[in-house]
Amino acid sequence: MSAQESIVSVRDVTKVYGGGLFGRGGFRALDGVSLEVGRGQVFGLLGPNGAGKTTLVKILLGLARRSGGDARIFGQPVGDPRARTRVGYLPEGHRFPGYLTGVQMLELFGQMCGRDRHYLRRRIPELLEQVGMRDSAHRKIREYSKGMTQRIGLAQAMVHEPELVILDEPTDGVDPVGRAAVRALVQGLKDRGTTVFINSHLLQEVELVCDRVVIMARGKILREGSIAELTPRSGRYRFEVAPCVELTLARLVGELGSNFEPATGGFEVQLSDAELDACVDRLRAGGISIRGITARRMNLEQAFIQLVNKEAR
Amino acid sequence: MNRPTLRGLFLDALYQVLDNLGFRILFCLFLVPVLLSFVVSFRETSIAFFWCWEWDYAEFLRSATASSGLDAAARAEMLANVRESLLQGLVDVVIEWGADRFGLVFGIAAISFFVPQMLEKGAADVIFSKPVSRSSLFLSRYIGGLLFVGILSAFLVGGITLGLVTSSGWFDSGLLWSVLALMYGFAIFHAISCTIGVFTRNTIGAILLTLVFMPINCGLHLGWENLVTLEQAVAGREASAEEPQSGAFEFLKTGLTAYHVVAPKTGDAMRMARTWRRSLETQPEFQDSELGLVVAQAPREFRREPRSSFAREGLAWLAAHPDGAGEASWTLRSQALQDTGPRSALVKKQRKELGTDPVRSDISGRYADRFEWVEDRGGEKRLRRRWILQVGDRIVTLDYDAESTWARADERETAATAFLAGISIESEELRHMGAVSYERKFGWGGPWQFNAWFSLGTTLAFVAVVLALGLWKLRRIDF
Repeated sequence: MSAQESIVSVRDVTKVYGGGLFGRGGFRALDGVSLEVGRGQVFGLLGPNGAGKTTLVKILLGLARRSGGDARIFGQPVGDPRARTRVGYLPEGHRFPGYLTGVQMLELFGQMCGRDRHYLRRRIPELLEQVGMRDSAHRKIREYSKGMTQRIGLAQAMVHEPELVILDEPTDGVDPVGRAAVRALVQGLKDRGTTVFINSHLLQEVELVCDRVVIMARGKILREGSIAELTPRSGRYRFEVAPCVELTLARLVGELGSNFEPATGGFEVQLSDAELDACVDRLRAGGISIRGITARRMNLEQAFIQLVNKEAR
Repeated sequence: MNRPTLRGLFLDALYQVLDNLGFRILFCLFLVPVLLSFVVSFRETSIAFFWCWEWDYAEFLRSATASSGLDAAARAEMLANVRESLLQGLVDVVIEWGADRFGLVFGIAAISFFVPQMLEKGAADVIFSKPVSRSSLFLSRYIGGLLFVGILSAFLVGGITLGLVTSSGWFDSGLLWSVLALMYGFAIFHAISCTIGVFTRNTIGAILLTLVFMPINCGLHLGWENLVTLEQAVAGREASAEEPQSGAFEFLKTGLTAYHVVAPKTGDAMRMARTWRRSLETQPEFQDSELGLVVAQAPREFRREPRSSFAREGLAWLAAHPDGAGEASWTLRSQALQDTGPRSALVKKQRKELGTDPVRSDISGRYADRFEWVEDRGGEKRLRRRWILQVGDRIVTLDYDAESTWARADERETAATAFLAGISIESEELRHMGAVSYERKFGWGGPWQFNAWFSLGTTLAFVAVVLALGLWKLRRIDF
C-alpha cells in the first residue's frame, strides 16, 4: 500500500493514562501501535476488553491525546478539527441529545460537519430511509428504543457523506434483522469507495464484512492481515465422493488421519500434507470417485481466541 | 467556524433551552406579572381590574391617612404620587426581586447542567468527534445559557412594558435597561457555572458551587463598599482627630479591596444601567446636592429666570399673563438657619404679620407650614402662598405669587400639585451617608474605586479568565 493511499496512518502511538509527575507510572493503554488503513478498505479492529481499541479510536478522533508517536487522518494530525470533517463516527455507548428529534440531530451534526441546509434537506430523508427510521424521524431521541438509537447513530455518522466512517460496535443492541441491515450499509459504503473502520466484539460480523483486520491485546498489535491470512488452515479436509459404502471409506481412510467423520456426500478427516496425498491415492485405488476436496480453515473467532490465549500465556 | 456550523450550534442551544424544564417553569412564572400588567390598569385616579372593577386611589388614601392629620392639600400632593409610586414599586418588586434575585438563582440552577451533560461519557464522544473545536463547543454552551436568560428577560420586561403601556399608558425606560443589567449579572455567574461544570463534570457540583459563590461574592463586595463609606464618613466628620488604624482593620481593608478589584462586581450592573439611563434621559429642572434637593420639572407654563440663583435671592420661575397684563412667579429659596432663626420663630413671625394660621403640609414627605393670603398690591389683588420647611441647617421657602384671577382655581391647584410632587429632598442621614456612599460616587468618571469603566473592565476580565480556565481544562480532558 503506498503512502498516498493511506487514509489512517498510525505510527508508534503510545498512550499512558494517569502518569504522575514527569510521566512516570500510569497505565499504558497503547504501546507503540502502528497501522495503516487504505482508501476504500473495510478495516476491522479486534481485541479483548482492555486491548486499547477504543483508546486508539479516540486518539484518531481527537477525543484523547496520545502520549507519543504520530497519528494522522487524511494526512492531517488527528488533533486538528479539520481532519475530522471527512470522518463519520458512531461511538460505543453513545448518548445523543435527547431534547432533539432524529431529524434535528441529523441537521445539527450535518451542520457541524459544514453541510448547508439545502444539502441536508436532500440528504436526510434518503439516509432515514436507508437506516429504516423514516417513520420515527420526528420523535424526540429520548423516546427511542436502543435499536432505534443505534440506527439514528449510524445515520448521523453518515449524514455528511464522509470518506472515512468509524463504527464502534455498530451492531450493539441491534436485532439480527437490523444486523443484516448494518452489514448491508457497510457493504454499500464500501461499494461507494468509503473507507470503513470497524471496532467490534462480534467477530462473525467482522469476518463477513472486513477486508483487513488488526488484532490487538494489551495495547499492542498481535496480528494484522486479510481474513484469509488471519485464519490459517486447520489441517482438516472435506472430501466429496461418489456414493459408496461408509464402511469402505472408514477402512480406506480412517487409519491414515484422525477424527474421521462421515458427512453427507462424503467425509471429513484431519490430515497432514503427506497424508492428504496418500488418502487421495487410497481412495482412487479403492475405486472411489473423488468429486471435490476442501481444506477447512479456522474461523476468525477460533483464530482470535487462539492468538489471544497464546499472548496471555 | 463556518456559517452552517454556527447556525447548527445556535439552533442546538435554542432547542436545548426550549426543552428545559426550568425554562418552562420560569416562563410560566414570568407569565403571571406580564398578564397582570395587561389586565390591571393604573389610571390617573384609580386602579381598574379586568377593565371593570375600579378602586379609587383617593378612597384608599383617605382611609390610610385618616389618623395622620394631613390636610386636603397634603393628601392631594400624595395622591398625585400614588400612581407613580405604585407602578414603580411593582416594577421594582418584579424586576429586582423576581427576575434579578429569584430568576438569577433559578436560572443558574436550571442551566448548570449544560456543560456537565455535554461532558458525560457517550455524549462527549459524539459531540467532540465533530469537526468543531472544543472552545467553540464550550462557548456555544455558554451562549446557550445567555440565550436562556435573554429570552426570559426580554419576555418578562418586554411583556410588562407593553402591558403597562397599553393598559396604563405608563412607560419607564429603566425597565428596559434592567434587561441589560440582568444579562450582565447572569453572564458572570453562568461563566463560573460553566467552568465549574468542566472541572467537576457534575451538575449538582456546578449548581451548588455557583450558588455558594453568589452570596459570598455579593457579601464581600458589600463589605468593602460599607467599609469605604464608613471610612470616608468618619474621615469627613473627624478630620482633625485621625487615629492610627489597627492591624486587623488594615488587613481586612486590604483583603476586601484586593477582592473588590479582582472579583466580578455583579452589584454594579443595576448601577451602570442607572447611570446610562440618567445620561440618556432628561435631566431634572434643578438639583442641589448639598441639600439633596431635586426639582423634577418647572411649574407648568412657567420658565426659569436665568439670572436667579438658589443660593442668593432664590430660584425664580416666571410666567406672563396670557393677555399680557402682569406676571406670576414661583420662587425657591434657601437660607442658613443662623440668618433666619429657628423655623418655629419664623412661622410665628409670619403668622403675626399675616394674621393667619399656617396649615400642615408636606413636601417630599417633610413637614412644611403653608401660608395662604391675598395681598393688595397697588389695587391689584394677588394670591400669595408660602411653604416653609427646614432641611438640615437650612430653611427652604417656596413662594407663589400671582394675580388672584390669573388662572382658574382648579387649573392652578393641579399645576401647583404637580410641581410640588416633583420636588424631592433626601433625608439628612441618607444625604450624609450618600455623599460618601459607593452608590452616590459610582459613575463613569469617578476615582478608580467608584469608576464604572473600572468595574466593567475588571468584571469582564474576570469572566474572560474564568472562561479561559474552563477552556484550558476542557482541552486537557481525555474522553
